[in-house]
Amino acid sequence: MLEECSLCGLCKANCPIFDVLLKETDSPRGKIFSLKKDVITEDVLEKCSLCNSCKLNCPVDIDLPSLIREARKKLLEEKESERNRKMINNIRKFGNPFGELQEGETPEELYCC
Amino acid sequence: MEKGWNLNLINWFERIVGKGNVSEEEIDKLVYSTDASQIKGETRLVVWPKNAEEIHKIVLFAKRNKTNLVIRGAGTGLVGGCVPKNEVIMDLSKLNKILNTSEYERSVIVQAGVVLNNLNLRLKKLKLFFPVIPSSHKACTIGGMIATNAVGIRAIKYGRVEDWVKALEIIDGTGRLRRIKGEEIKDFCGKEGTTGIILRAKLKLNDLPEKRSLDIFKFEDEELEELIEKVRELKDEGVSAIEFINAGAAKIAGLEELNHLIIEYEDFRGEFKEENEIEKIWKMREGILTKINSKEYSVSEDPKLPLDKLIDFLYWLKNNNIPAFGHIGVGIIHPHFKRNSEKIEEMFEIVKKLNGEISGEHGIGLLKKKHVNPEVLKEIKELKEKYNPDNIINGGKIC
Ligand SMILES: Cc1cc2nc3c(=O)[nH]c(=O)nc-3n(C[C@H](O)[C@H](O)[C@H](O)COP(=O)(O)OP(=O)(O)OC[C@H]3O[C@@H](n4cnc5c(N)ncnc54)[C@H](O)[C@@H]3O)c2cc1C
Ligand code: SF4
Ligand code: SF4
Repeated sequence: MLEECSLCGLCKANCPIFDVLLKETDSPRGKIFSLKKDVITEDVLEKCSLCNSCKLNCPVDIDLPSLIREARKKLLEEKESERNRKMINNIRKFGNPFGELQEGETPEELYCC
Repeated sequence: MEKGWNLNLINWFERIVGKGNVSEEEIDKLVYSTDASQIKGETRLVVWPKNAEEIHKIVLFAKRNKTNLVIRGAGTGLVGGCVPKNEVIMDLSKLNKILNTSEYERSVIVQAGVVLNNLNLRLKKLKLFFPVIPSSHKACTIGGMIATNAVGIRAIKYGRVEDWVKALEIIDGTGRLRRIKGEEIKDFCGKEGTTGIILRAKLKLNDLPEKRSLDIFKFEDEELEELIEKVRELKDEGVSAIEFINAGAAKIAGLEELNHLIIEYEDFRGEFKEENEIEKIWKMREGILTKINSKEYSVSEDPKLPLDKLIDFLYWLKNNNIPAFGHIGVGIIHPHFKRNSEKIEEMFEIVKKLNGEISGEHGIGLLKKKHVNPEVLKEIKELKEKYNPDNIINGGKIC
C-alpha cells in the first residue's frame, strides 16, 4: 500500500493534527513517508486521532489509520511505550500513574498504556 | 567562517524562533527532503518561523553566514521547488492567518501559509471566493500559488493568480521588507521564490456564483477533431471550465476508456445540477493526477499549446499511449510519463515545434532548468541581481 503513495499531499486537508501542529512530519503524508522509510518515531505515531479523514481524501485509498494501528501494535509488542514507562515511574515515585498530585487534584492528562 | 557557525547552526536558529520551531532530527530532515515531485534532496535543518520578524532575522543571519534557504508552502509543487540540496528548509505553514476581509472592496489580506481551501470556506459565508482553484486547492498555500503563478480548473474564465493579486509584502534576499504594488507584482508572481519570501498578500475576490452545473461529453479516439471543435465552440459560450481527460487517463481514473470533456457553466444549462453530483465529479477530476502518479507514471508534465496546434499534440499522445488530462480551455495539458522515459525529451521537442511553452503552470524548479528559455533566464538573472544578489533564497531554483 505504501508504494502507491505518490506524495501528492491531498491527504493533508482536514487532518486535525496537522491543522494544529502545522509540521509536515505530523501530517498524513509525512507519516506515510516516514513509515515507508522506516524512520517513524513513537512520538509521531502517537499524534494521530485515527479519524480517517486522510483515507477519505486520498484518491488511491491509502489507509493510513490502519497502518498507524499496526505500527503502534508492533511497537508495543517490541517494547513498552514512553507513556507506559512514564506511568510506571510515577507509580514508583508518587504511588499513582499521573505524577505528583495535591490532595483532591485530578490529573490534567489521562492516558492508558 | 561558515564552518564555525555550522557547529551550532541549530542554536542560532533556536535563538530566533525558540526551541521546538527548529529541528535537525532525522525524521524531519527526511520528510522535508522531498515534495510532490518525489525528487530526492538533502535537508540541512528545518525551521518553522511564526511571523515576519523571525523571518527577517533568519534572512539576515543567512545572508551573514551564506546559508541557503529553501522556502516551503504546502510542498504540493511538482518540479522540486521545495527540494533542498543540503540547504535549510523554511516552512511557512505557521503563517496561516486570514487577516482582513473587505466585502465592500471584495478583497482579503492573508498570510502566505493560508491554505486556499480554508480561505474559500471562510469566504463562502460572505458569498465571495478566490477563483483560481488548482486541483491541489485542499492543501496548497497562497504563498506557493503566487510563487508558481498557479492556474486553476476555471482558468478559462478567471485567469491565473497574477490577475488577482493587488499587493504583496515580501522580504528580499538582502533582508529588506518591501511593500509591492502595481507592475512590480510580476517580479514575484511565478518567480518561484527566487526574488524573495512572500509574507502576505492582498487578493481580489469574486462573487461566488449562485448557480452552477456540469456536462460531460465523450469522444472516441477517432473523434479528436470533433473534440477540439467542441472546445472552440464552448470557449465562445462563456463557460467557466473546460477540462479534458484522454482515453488512457480515463481508464486509470476508472472512467470509460474514451476522451472526456467536463464543462462547467455558471447557470443551470448542464446535465448535472445537484451540488453533491458536481462535487463528486470534480473530486474525481482532482484525484486523477494522484491516480496516474501511483501507476508508475510518476512524471507530470504541463506544456501549454495554442488551440490550433492541439490536435497534433493530442494525436501524438494517443499514438504513444500517454495518459493525459488538463485545462484544455487554456491549452494546458498534463501528459504523464514513467521516470526517465525518453518520450519526455521527445515531447519537449514537439511542444517547441508547435510553438508551445514547456511549462504552462507547474514552473521550472529543479526539474526543467535546462529547458528555460533564454529570455526568461535573462529576466530571472536581472531580478535576482535586484532582490536576491547573494542567491540565498531558493538559490538553485530556475537558474
Ligand atoms: C494533485 C495535484 C494537483 C495539482 N493541480 C494543479 C493545478 O491545477 N494548477 C496548478 O497551477 N498547479 C497544480 N499543482 C501544483 C501545485 O499544487 C501548485 O504549484 C501550488 O501552487 C503549489 O503550492 P504549495 O503551497 O504547495 O507550494 P510549494 O510546493 O510549497 O512551493 C512551490 C514553489 O513556491 C515557492 N514558495 C512557496 N511559498 C512561498 C512563499 N511564501 N514565498 C516565496 N516562495 C514560495 C517554493 O520555494 C517552491 O519553489 C498540483 C499539484 C498536485 C500534487
Ligand atoms: S496518502 Fe494518498 S493523498 Fe496522501 S500523499 Fe499519498 S497518495 Fe497523496
Ligand atoms: S487519521 Fe490520523 S493522520 Fe489521518 S487525518 Fe486523522 S489524525 Fe490525521
